[in-house]
Amino acid sequence: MKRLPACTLGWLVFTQLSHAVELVHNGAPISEIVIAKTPHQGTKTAAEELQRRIEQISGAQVPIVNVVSANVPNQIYVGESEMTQHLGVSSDDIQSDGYKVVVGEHHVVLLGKDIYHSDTTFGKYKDRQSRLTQQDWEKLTGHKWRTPSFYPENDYNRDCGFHIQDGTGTLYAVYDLLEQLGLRWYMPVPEIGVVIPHLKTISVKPQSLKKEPEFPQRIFHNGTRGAFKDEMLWYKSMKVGTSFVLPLYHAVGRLTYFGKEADPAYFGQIAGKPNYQSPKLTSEKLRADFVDSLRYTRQVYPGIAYDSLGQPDGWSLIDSADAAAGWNKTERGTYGCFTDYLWDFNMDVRKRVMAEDPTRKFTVMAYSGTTLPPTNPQKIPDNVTVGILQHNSMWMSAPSNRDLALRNEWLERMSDGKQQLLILDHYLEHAPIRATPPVPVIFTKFLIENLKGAYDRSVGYDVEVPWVTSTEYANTKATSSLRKPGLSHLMIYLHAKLEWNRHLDIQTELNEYYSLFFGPAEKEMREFYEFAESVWCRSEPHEVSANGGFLKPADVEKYFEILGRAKTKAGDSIFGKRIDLITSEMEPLHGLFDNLQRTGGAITGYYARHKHQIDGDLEKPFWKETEDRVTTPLRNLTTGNLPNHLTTNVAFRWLQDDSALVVGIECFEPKMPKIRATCRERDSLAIFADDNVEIRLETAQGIRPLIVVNSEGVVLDECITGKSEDLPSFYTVKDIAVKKLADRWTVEALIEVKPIEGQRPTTTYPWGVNICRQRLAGNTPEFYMLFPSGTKFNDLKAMGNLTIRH
Amino acid sequence: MKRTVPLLFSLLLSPCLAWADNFPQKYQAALSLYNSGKLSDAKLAFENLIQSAPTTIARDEALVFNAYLETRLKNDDAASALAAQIHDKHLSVLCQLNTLALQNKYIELVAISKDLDFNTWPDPLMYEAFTSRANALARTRHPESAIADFQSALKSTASDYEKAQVYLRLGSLYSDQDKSDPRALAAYSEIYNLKGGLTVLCKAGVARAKLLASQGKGDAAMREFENLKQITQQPHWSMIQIGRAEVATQLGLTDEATASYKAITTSVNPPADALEMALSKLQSKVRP
Repeated sequence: MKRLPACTLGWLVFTQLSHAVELVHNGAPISEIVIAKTPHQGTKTAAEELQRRIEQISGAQVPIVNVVSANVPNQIYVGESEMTQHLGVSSDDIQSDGYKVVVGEHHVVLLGKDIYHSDTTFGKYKDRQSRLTQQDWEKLTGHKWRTPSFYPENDYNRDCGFHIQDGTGTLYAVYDLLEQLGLRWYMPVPEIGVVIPHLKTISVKPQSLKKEPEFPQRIFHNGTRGAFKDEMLWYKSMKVGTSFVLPLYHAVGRLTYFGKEADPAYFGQIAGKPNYQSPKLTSEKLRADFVDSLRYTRQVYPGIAYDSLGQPDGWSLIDSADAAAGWNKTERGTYGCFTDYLWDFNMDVRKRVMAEDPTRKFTVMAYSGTTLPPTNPQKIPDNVTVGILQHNSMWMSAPSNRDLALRNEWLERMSDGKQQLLILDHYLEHAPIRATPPVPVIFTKFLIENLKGAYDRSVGYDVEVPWVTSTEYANTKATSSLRKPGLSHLMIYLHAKLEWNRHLDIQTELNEYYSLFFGPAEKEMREFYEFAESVWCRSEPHEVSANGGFLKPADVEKYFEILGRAKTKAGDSIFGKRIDLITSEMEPLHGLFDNLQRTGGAITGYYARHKHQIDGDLEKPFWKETEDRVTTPLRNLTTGNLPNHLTTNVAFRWLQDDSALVVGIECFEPKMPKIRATCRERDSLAIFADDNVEIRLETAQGIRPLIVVNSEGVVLDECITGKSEDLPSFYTVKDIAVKKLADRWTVEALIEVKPIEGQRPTTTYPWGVNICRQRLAGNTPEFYMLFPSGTKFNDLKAMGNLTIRH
Repeated sequence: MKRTVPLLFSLLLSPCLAWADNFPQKYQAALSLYNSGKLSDAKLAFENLIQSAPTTIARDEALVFNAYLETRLKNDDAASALAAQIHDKHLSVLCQLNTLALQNKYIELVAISKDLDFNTWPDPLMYEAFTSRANALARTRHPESAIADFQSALKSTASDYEKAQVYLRLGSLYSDQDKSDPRALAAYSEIYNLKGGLTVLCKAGVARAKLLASQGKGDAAMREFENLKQITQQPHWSMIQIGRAEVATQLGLTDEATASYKAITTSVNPPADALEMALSKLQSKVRP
C-alpha cells in the first residue's frame, strides 16, 4: 500500500508521542468508538461508517459505545462530547466546516464543525416527505407563485441524518482517518467503487491535524442523492458540503413559473403578445411582488443571511418597450445584452429589501445574456455575491477561451471575491440532456488552472453533475443517482480533492488511482485516461457529427483496444470488474458513427450559368435558366407533410469559379401584413422571435455555418468549425438580400466557400444541409424544414446531403 | 378528407423509406400504409409512433391516425377515446369531426362544430376544418352554410388540388339549388385555371357540360368537351367519353352517344368499369 504524500495531509503535525495507537491487533479489536450519550444522527452515521470500514479492512468489529470501557485499551472519540472536552479537543477554533484528527496516548479524536442547515434553516421542510408544498406556499403568499427551489429536499437522507449540503466535519474527520489507512472511495458503485486495504493490525500514527476547506461552498448537485445512502456517503467521503447557506436559484422565475396563470404584469410583450419566457424586469408590479416573495421565503426558511435575486431560466428575449427604451444592449453581444437590464432590477430590489433590513445580503446570477459584468453599477456592492457560470470541462477552449479573463473582469469589480464570487459549473457531459458520446471526459489540466484561479478569490463551487432518469432507474435498477458513474466519477473526485488542498499534486493522485483502482492493469488504464484527455481537449467542437467534432472513428477503436488489453491483464478480479463497467458504459460508441450518418436524403444544387446578383429576386435567369432546375419544398417539422396553406421553396446554385454557394428561399405567405419582424440588430437573439429562415450547413471538413434572416433582411450568423482556434470570433455571410412581394418574401444568400474551408460538395464529400422556416404570421407558430427532424431545427443527423452538378 | 390526401406524395416517398429513421420518416411510412388501405399494418405503425413520439405534438399527430384507423375498423368508442387523448385542443376537435364524418354522423358533426370559429384556428388546420363541416352541412341540407364554409376553405389553402375540390363541391351546391345559377358554371370554370389534377379537371368539364345541357344550351354543352380533348390518357379519356355520351344522350344526340361508347370499347386499356358501362349501353342501344 502506498503511503499518502505528506502534502495531502495539510497541516499535519506529529506530536512528541513515540507510540502509535492500535485500533485492531492481529484481527482482534482493541479499541472502541465512543460517541456522546445523545449524539446527532449525523454523528452516529460517522461512527457507524468508521465501524463498517474498519471491519472491512481488518475483519474486526470495533464496538460503538457512549461510555468508555475500563477493559478496552484504546478509544476512538467520534464527534464532540464531554470526553473530547476533557481531552482538550474541540471544534471551537475551526472556522468553516473543517475537522480535526488528534491522536494521543491511547486515544484518537475525530471531530469537526457539524453545521446541519437541514435541522436549523430547513428543519420544518427538510426532506421529500415533509417538503414545502405548492398548496401551502400559495396559501401563505396568496399568490400563484412556485415554491422557492434552492433547497433540494431529495438530497436529504434520513438514515444519514443530514443533507448533502450540510457541513459534516466529524464525518470528514472519519474519512480522513480511513484515507490514512489506505481506503479510497473513488466511485459510488457498491462492491467495486471503493479500494479497501486489508490489514490485520490497524494502528494510527500520533498526530494533531486540523483541516479547513479551501472554500466554504463545495456543492455537487443533481437533486436526487438522498435516495441512496451509500452515494451520499461517497460525496461525504470527498468532504462535500457547505458551512453556510448561500441560496442561488431562479428566484424571479418562481413568480413567472406558471406563465398564463401568473400575473400578466410579470411578462414582457414581444411584438404585441405576452412572452412567458421573458420577464418584464422594469415592471413595478414584478419588483414589488418579488420583494414580497423574498419576505415569505425568509419566513419559511429562517436564518439565511442572503436573498437570491436569480433571473428566470431560458430567458432570451426582452420586452419590446424596454428594448425600445434602450435596455437591449446588443452592442455588448450575446453574453452581455441583458446584463444592465438585470442589474437595474437587482439594484432596485436590493435597495427595497435593505430599506427593511440593512444587514441583508444578496446572490445574483451571471450566465447567458447576463454573463458579462454590468456597467451599472461599475462596482459590485459588497453585500452581493455573483454566481457566474463557467464550464470546466471546456475550460479555456477556443473560441470562447475567455473563461479566466471573464472571471477576472468580475473580480475587478468586487472588493472580495472570497465573499462575492461563486462559480457555477456543469459536469454534465453524461447527463441525458447532452449529446456527448460516452467517452471519459477528462480535463485535469483545465481543472488545475480553474481551481488555481479560484483559491482566495472565490466562495467556492456549485457543480451540477449528471443524473439518472426515472426511466433508467426503472430499467437498470440504478444504485446511485450519478449517471454513468464509471465515466463520471474521476473528475468529481479530483475536483473535490482540490477543494480541500490547493497543494494537491494531481499527477501523484492519478498515479495512485491507476495503481489502486486498476491493479495489474495500471499501465493500460494510465494510457487510457491520458488518451481520453488528449481526445477530449482537442480544439474541436464537443458535438460530434458525421464529419466533425472532437471524436474520430479511430479514437473509438483505440479506446476499446486499450480497454481490451487492460481487461486481459486484470481478468475477472475486482480490477477487471471496474474495467468492465467503464467498457459497458462506453458500449454505445460502437454504433456512434453509423448512427451519425445523415438521414435527410439527397438534394442537388447546380452550377450557375449566369452571373450572380444578390438582390432577393428569384425570378431572374440565374434561378430560372432551365426547367429541370426545380426547387424543393419545405415540409412540416413534425410529420414531414407538405403544408396545404403555404409553400416554402429552396434552391441551390454554385458559382462557376467555385467561390460560393448561393441559396435561394421563397417563402409564400398568405398573411404578409402579419409577418413578425421586430429584430433590427444584427446578431441579436431577438431574431428568433420573428418570422425567419435558417440556413444550416456542414461542409465536408465539419464546419457549420448558421445563417438566420428575417423578412427585413436582419441577419444572425455564426459558425462552429472543425478547428476552433482558427475560427474568427464570428462568421459573416458574404452577401444576403431579402425581397418582399405581395404574396411572399424571398431570401438570396451568397455563402463564400473560403472562410468555411469548403470545397464543392460532391457525392463522395457532400455537405450537410437543412433549411428551416419559422412562421409566426399565422394564428399559431409553424415550423418547416427541408429535411424534417421531428423535434428541432438544429438536428445534425436530420440534415440532407447536398451535392452540386453541372 | 385532407389527411387521407397525401397518397401520391406518400407513394412517391415510400421507396426511400426503407431506412426510415426519425419521426417524420416513420410517420410518412405509416401514412403510406394507411392510404394504401393496409389498415392493420398502419395501425401497428401508428401505435408504435405513439410510443416513440419525441414530442407531444408528434404524439398528437400519431393519435389522430390511430383514431381514424379505429373508426375504419368500426371501433367507434376506441376512436373517441383516442381523440380525447390528443393534447392540442384544435387537433383533438378536428380529429373528432373527421371520425364523425367517417362514421357518416353528419348531424352530430354539425352539432358540435356549428359555433366554432375556424378562422382563429391554427392555419394548417383551417382548410380541413372548414371542408369537414361544409360537407356535413351539405349532407344535412344546409346549403347556404355549406357554401359559406367552402368559400372560407378556399381562402385557407394554397393548394390547387384542394381549391379544385372545393370548386367542384361549390358548383354542385349552386346547381343543386338552381340549375341556372351562373355561379355554378363559374365555380367549375375556376378549375380550368388550377393545377388540381386530371381527375378533377375531367369532372369539372363533364359537370359544366351537363349543366349547360340542362339549361338547354346543347351546342355549348358539346363544345365543352373540346376543352378536354388534349386529355388522351386513361382512365381520364374514358371518363370524358362517358360524360360526353351522357350529355349527348341528355340532348337526344344518340349517334354522338353511341360513338363515344364505341370509342371506349375500341380504345387501348380502357378501365374495366368504363368498358363494362359502355358495352352495357351499346347493348341497350343507348337509350336515355
